[in-house]
Amino acid sequence: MDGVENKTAVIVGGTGEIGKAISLGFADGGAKVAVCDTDQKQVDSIVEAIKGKGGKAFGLAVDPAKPEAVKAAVSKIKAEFGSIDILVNNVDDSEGFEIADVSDDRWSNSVNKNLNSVLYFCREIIPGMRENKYGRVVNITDIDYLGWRKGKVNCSATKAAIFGLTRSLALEGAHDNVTTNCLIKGETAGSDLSDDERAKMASRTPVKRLGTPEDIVRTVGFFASQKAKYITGQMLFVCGGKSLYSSMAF
Amino acid sequence: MSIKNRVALITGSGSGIGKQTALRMAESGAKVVINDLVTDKVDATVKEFKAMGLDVIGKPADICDKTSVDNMIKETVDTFGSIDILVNNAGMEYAGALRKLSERDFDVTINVNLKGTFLCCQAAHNYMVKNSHGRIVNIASRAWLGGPGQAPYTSAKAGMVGLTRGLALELGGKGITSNCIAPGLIHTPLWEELPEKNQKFLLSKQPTGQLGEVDDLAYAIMFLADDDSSFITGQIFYVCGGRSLFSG
Ligand SMILES: NC(=O)c1ccc[n+]([C@@H]2O[C@H](COP(=O)([O-])OP(=O)(O)OC[C@H]3O[C@@H](n4cnc5c(N)ncnc54)[C@H](O)[C@@H]3O)[C@@H](O)[C@H]2O)c1
Repeated sequence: MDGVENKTAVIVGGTGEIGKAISLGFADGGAKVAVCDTDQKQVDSIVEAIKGKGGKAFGLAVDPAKPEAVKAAVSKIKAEFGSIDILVNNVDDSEGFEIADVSDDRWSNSVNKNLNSVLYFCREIIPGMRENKYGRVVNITDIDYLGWRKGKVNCSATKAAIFGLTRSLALEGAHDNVTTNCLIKGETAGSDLSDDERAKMASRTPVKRLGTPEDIVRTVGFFASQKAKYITGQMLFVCGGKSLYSSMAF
Repeated sequence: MSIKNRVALITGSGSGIGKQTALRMAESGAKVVINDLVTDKVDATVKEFKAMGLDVIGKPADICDKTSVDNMIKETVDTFGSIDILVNNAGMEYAGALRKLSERDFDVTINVNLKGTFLCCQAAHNYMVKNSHGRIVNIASRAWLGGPGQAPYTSAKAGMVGLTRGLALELGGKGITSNCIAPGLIHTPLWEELPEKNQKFLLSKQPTGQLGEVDDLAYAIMFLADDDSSFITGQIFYVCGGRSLFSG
């Protein structure tokens, strides 16, 4: 990753397979990384990994669906690193159900993780970015927002909300050099998939492979860099071309 | 990120966005072919870049002519061994109210932007398929969303979007990606020629209140042309300071 040296980057959802790769990617690029996630042990292990390589990192276990917790976390990050330049929202809950099975609990879980966490972190961090006349916000959502398969009602709806949020924030920040963009990730190979499942999914993708965490990291890095200063409010699919099958995807 | 040692052909690179992209790619270690309709622009650009120690050659050609395009691509491969990156950047428009436009205005605008892009893709993809590697980046425009007084240009650029998406599906399994860039207002010589009144009006519609720079385009093009961008295909990437978010 280049163009992020000495910047402070907050990675929310920074310890899962993709989140970890993003956190390490920013550290490799010389950024000061604030790793936020729910599990203290996992946060600590990423922070140690970054520090072990000589990078700067600070970890926080925080429930991103609790506005007061997010507020407290952001002030701690500012106390540690000063101002915040980059915010990556990577909290991801892709569990989906058909409408009859979307219980109140399941619904609020999706809203909390996929939408509220993004809102709370943006609300705490973007005003400071605008004052500083510099900011890069990268929201990560999922191609399932297209509503293109059954049994994903709660997931599609909450992932789709990131579309409107991203674009509204882009308009607000445009005059202050605060860009907000969204990466829409396609099917990415997680360790939870069997070889058979991977092969089947890959064969249905135009580029005949699944995505990797690295595919995500480099696009996040581009949006977060100085090189992308004239790009804002955009939704970029990193999906091996699978978005081409949907009429809603451009 | 890497495009080092890759061979890149950029159409219309004797000027503006294409020229800056050629410069940045060559500086990053790519071998670059400068193409333009105007031979003088090609010669001047090649001379300027060679003086900087960059690995470039010039191929003047009209991209609307199939034989010229086929020869240009073949000569590129003869000289550099392959063609890995094709940036379809040459473009122009005849603009005006519908009632004032001639048949020729429409034909020429479609030919340069759309047919020229098609011919270059067609000629280059054979070599890309052989190497199981290729990056096609088509420079459309935010104006493909539609602009009053821009019937030919909007049609041509929308055609380029369709072409980009079709090729992404057709060539996706062969290591070739095909993407579009949709630039918004960019600071090029054309901008300087506009009356101040028009400049003010256009800037007032710009969320950032600013023009883009040719480097903003060069870096976005290089991002998509990179070896590591293999999982991004069939996309329209707007580099427009947020102008695509609304109309009016
Ligand atoms: N400048 C902008 O604000 C802007 C905005 C949106 C889209 N674009 C698009 O970006 C591309 C580059 O724009 P620019 O502003 O750098 O333009 P430019 O006029 O500076 O450069 C385009 C070059 O293409 C060449 N060309 C024209 N017809 C050709 C042909 N038949 N064969 C070979 N070369 C030919 C021209 O001689 C010229 O040198 C165009 O496709 C344009 O439509 C530009």
